[in-house]
Amino acid sequence: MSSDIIEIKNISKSFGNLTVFRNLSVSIKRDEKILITGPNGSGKTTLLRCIAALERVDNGKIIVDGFKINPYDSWNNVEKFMKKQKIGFVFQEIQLWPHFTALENLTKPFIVAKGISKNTANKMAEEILTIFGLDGKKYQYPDFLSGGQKRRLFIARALIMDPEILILDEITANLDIELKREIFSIIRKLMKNKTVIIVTHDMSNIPEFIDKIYRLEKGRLISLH
Amino acid sequence: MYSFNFLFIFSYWHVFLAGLIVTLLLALSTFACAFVIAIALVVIKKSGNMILGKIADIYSFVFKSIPALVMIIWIYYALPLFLNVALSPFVAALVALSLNLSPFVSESIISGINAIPKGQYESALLLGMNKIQAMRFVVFPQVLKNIMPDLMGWFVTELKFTSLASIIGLNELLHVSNIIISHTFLPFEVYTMLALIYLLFVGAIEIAVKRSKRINYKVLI
Ligand SMILES: Nc1ncnc2c1ncn2[C@@H]1O[C@H](COP(=O)(O)OP(=O)(O)O)[C@@H](O)[C@H]1O
Ligand SMILES: [Mg+2]
Repeated sequence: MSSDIIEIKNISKSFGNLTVFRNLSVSIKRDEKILITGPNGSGKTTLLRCIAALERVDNGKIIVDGFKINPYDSWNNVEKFMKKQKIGFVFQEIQLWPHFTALENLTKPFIVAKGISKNTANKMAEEILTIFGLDGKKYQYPDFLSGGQKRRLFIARALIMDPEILILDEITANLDIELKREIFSIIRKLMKNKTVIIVTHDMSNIPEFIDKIYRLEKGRLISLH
Repeated sequence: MYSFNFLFIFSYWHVFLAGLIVTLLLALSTFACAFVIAIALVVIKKSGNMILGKIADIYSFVFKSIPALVMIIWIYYALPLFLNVALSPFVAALVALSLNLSPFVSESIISGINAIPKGQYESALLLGMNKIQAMRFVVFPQVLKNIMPDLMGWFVTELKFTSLASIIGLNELLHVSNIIISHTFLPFEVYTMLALIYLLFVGAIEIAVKRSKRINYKVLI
């Protein structure tokens, strides 16, 4: 029971008259690495956004590490949840902050949200940049990075707060095999003691560390193994 | 044959300067007022309040529809008739031009905000910033960069629109030029000077616009 870090119970979600899912339930164990696949538009991103409280479900409940977000919760409660930094979320679309350098993209959350000194933040960020092979790029602005570098920096930023849950939404779409391997090998190194949810519709190379595969289709989540 | 006499009108430089100061003061204060009103309109429209939103829409429609010149004349000559207050030409022009400009500025700001992907803000929240921090550190510097060329464009427009206030006798550049002509009978020289002064200032702003594209507004936060 308490080994489940994410409990999703009978959730429903619609946008207007488009029902994305109805009575969907799933539990994810602590440190489990799961993969969710499914056709485009099946609601994979929406499910992830509900887990991260970026989107509110219409019915049912989602409990993340004991913290429950209700369908009609006030923003205050959502903010409390986000402040706990449980989730590192790598969006499908890269959202680096263009007015900050690579280093600042990593340090700003520390300095602003946690009140950590700039020096300490810089040291921590530099370590992560090195792991991601971006140490030479710390003073570069995102617009001047290559696609692969942006992708790596964006993943690095989601990991900077050392979240317990790492959510990766189609992060290898449109990347060449080389870069895919490289990114997954970095993630493999950093994912110890983390619950990882990977979403992809590309089933051609599934990372070997995956424990469970689900398929989201027509509003239902089907376990594939 | 008309013989040019530019040197003679240079002796009126202090009159031009006085007019220029009034023109710049009116343009700057109009822009500042319009900006404040525009921010209020943006906040109202973004707040999602239906009634206030409708009022803001009507406000925008009304003041975008009435020509600036008509507004100036109406506020200076017609408004005092039933409000029983006489406004100075400067204040009348300031009110008229601010009302006229504000809807346009608010639209520029809104499109500048809408151009920022939602994920920019959401990623800041996910990394522990609160709403205000996310707006201040992530959204605001980008919005400013987006809207700065537009804002400067509106300032140029406003600088030119101030000449409309000559109709109610405000001693701005166009009006003082007409006065100089009545003394010197040199319309060609005076109006050429006038055009050159506008050209100089608008040119300077255009250069500033180009520069502004390179500014990183994170320095303001
Ligand atoms: N904010 C939204 N408003 C309206 N419809 C949305 C919104 N977000 C997603 N959708 C719709 O919900 C469905 C599922 O979208 P999404 O979760 O992005 O699918 P996937 O990630 O599996 O491709 C799609 O039909 C999409 O158009
Ligand atoms: Mg998606």
